[in-house]
Amino acid sequence: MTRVAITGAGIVTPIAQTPAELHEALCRGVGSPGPLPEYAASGLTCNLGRVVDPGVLAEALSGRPSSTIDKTGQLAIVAAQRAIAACSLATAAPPELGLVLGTMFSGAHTIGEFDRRALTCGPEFASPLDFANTVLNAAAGQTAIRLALRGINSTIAGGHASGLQAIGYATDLVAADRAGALLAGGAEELCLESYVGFCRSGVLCGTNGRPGHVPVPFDANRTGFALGEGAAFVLIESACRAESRGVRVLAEIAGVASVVDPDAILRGFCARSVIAEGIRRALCRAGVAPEEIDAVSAAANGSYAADAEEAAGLAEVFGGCAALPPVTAIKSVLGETLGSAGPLQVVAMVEAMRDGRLPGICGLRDPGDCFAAGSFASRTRSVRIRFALVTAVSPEGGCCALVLRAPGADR
Amino acid sequence: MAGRVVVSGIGLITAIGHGREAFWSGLLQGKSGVSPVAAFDTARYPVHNGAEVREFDPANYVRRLDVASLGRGSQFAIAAARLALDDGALGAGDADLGRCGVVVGTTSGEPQFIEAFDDALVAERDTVRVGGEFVRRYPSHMLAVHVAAEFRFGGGAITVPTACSAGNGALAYGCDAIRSGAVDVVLAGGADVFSRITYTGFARIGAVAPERCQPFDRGRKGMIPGEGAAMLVLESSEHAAARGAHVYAEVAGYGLSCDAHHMTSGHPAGDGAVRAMEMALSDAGLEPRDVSYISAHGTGTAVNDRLETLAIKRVFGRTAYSIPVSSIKSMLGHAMGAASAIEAAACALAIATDWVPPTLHLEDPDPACDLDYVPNAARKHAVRVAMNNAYGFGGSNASLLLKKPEVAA
Amino acid sequence: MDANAIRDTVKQSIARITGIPPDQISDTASYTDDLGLDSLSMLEIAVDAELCFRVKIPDDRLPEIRTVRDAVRIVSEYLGTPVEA
Repeated sequence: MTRVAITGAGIVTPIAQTPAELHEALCRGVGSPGPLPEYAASGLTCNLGRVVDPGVLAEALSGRPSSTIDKTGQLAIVAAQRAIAACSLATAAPPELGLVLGTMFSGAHTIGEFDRRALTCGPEFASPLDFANTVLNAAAGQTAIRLALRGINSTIAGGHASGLQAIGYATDLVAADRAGALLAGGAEELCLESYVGFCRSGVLCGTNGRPGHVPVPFDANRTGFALGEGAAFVLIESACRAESRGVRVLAEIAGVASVVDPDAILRGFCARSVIAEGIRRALCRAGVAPEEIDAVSAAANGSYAADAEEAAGLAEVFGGCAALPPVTAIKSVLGETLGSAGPLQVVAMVEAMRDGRLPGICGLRDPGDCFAAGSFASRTRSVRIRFALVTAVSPEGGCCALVLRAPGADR
Repeated sequence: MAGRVVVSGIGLITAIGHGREAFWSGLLQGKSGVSPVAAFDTARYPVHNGAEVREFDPANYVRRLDVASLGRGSQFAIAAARLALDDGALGAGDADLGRCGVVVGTTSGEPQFIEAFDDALVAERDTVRVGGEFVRRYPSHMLAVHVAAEFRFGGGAITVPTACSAGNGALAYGCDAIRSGAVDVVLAGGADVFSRITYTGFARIGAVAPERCQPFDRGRKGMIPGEGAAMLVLESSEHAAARGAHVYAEVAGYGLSCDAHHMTSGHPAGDGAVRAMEMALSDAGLEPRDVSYISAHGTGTAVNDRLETLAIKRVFGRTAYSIPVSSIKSMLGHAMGAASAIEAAACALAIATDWVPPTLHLEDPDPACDLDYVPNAARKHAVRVAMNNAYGFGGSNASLLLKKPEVAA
Repeated sequence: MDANAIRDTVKQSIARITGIPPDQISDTASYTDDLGLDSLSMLEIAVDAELCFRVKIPDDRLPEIRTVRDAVRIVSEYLGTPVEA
């Protein structure tokens, strides 16, 4: 099997515009998602979140008209073009660079606006350009047009795990020599439709009866999550290709696995045994034993049951809470970014490997009884990371686990 | 090269019938599923026909989950999946459920839920009527999750929402998942429901025909929006052989490409479509002359049919004139993300029976479309290799090749 | 008055789509050759005007709109018979 390397990364987030900036912000622990002015007067019981400054997008897209591209598409384009710029592809661009994009809601806001205008004014006044953006693969299509990506173009929908699953799919494609190089990642916009939807389902902090707004992963007083938005792509190619191009390998994707818990929708979260199975399969494909994992980037976002279940799943694999390596949870700062979450976790972990520091879980005060205090900490720690585990878990049952190998780590 | 993948079960919910037998006999008889739209009032639209699924009772197919908790898209997907599993004689004891996965292609997912969101918002000027079920039921991955939940599959469940090429995209994904060794069985296909959002959009851009879908005809006026689902049981050949499964066809290969040109119009010279076909042939180790039948995307729009014909000629050269090409959208309308999955099922059945379905309503061929489109009547024809082409918004192109199990690459 | 309002609306639509400032869009610039608009964008511009002025231009007249001047002329024709929205 061809070894798969990450040779570039690009992101766009509310708090950082480069992987290094993201790592610094996470290590400093810049805070949990704060109030969103646009939702403050809405009557919704949660108004916390993080959104990308529109000025950031406008500047990144300046030079070419972009008003016919919706926000989800713009997020995807900016992150993708930053990833391409980051890995010197201009010197040896593959003829058919492709794209695999994970997203949970796609352009739900565009879909809603298109429908509402037709309802209000009449179907004869529906917007043709908005219609083009109502297909769930619109962001991937717009990115391909903008950046002339003529290879495989796929969109993956797997709830909160969409983005990591997209990277998993792209990894398999490169490993099987079906694609020479791929941009893989995700994009998600925080919009009225998803915000209201999550509020009404009681999963956001402040919407379910638990006291206060504590969107802090693994904290004993956590009360639910807060939404974020953003996009992240990694450029992946075979390790041999990277070497022959003379570009630096940031990390290798040693193994990925996707599973699903068929009972999750009846229970409201993915079971620990399924999470453990997903992790085991990824470790097995990577040929890595649990004790070789030096750090974990968890999917936890402050959800009361799901965070506990993920910790229990990790404990099952590693042989108990006491044996867990250091665990970080970047949603403590970024919030739940759905389709872009897994890719942001991968980018952040690659930076942690480079820098030798694992960000703390921002805002964590009390990890609670089932979490070994040593593994879950609010402070940033020096960790030499040779192998890392990234997990993505969706409450409807989808679970994806990915193992990263640092450059130079023995095999 | 990884192991071989076969098609061992076929299930469908379509405008001309449910289940493999009704579907196939309907196709060969040239049955049309087009009729006036029943789902909503089309008085304010310039067009009024669609290809809706009739006589569908989800209670016939959903046993484990609560029907009331499922959107119509999920109901279609589960129904097609159950029919496929029954057709393939694959019961819970015939496979390790932890090594069975689900991949569903779609264009819109579960649009009824966002339409309800919009109805509430427009009526109340507020979101107060939106309930907790919206975020649990609307996102498109729920199509796959519900199928996995219904049949207790644990080997992964994702939706591939790549618009009108999604069915082929899902089948390609499923095929690769099996070849990677991660799973032994994948229920792969597509599902889409008739929706006012989709109908409004296509009607607004002038793409919808007023009466019927007439692919390749000089008088063609556009597509007929439809709905439906098809799920195929994809299985590693070893797993299928070990349980003595009946095999319809083998997946020979596929090709995926992107036009990177325009969101709703294909590349003017068909470049992306050509690449997808060539990649599929190369992946399968086959030559153009090896192809016995082409199931066209054939939407019936002025542009698609002309460009698709051009692309076929670029790939096949003179051989194009001796390969039957038909569009079953002439009978089923355009079932969006389900279309290429339904068409893949038709290809598998063409291979299994050596019959090719017709292109209906082909009365006055467009001079620019001069291939053999199997006009109006099904035909007995030895089908060793079938190519299924699909092109979607966003410029996504997908070509899938199926072959008779004994054809050597 | 009406003609100016139509002209401004159409130029705003073109500006939104192309990024070209309205004051740099001439009344006679060709939608396709000079402004680089494709068929979907031209349809969008027509629908914007229909929505703004509450008119309905029959689809078979849309191909006549190849410049801003054409748009003003044709929308004006239908201004006498506004559509109920």
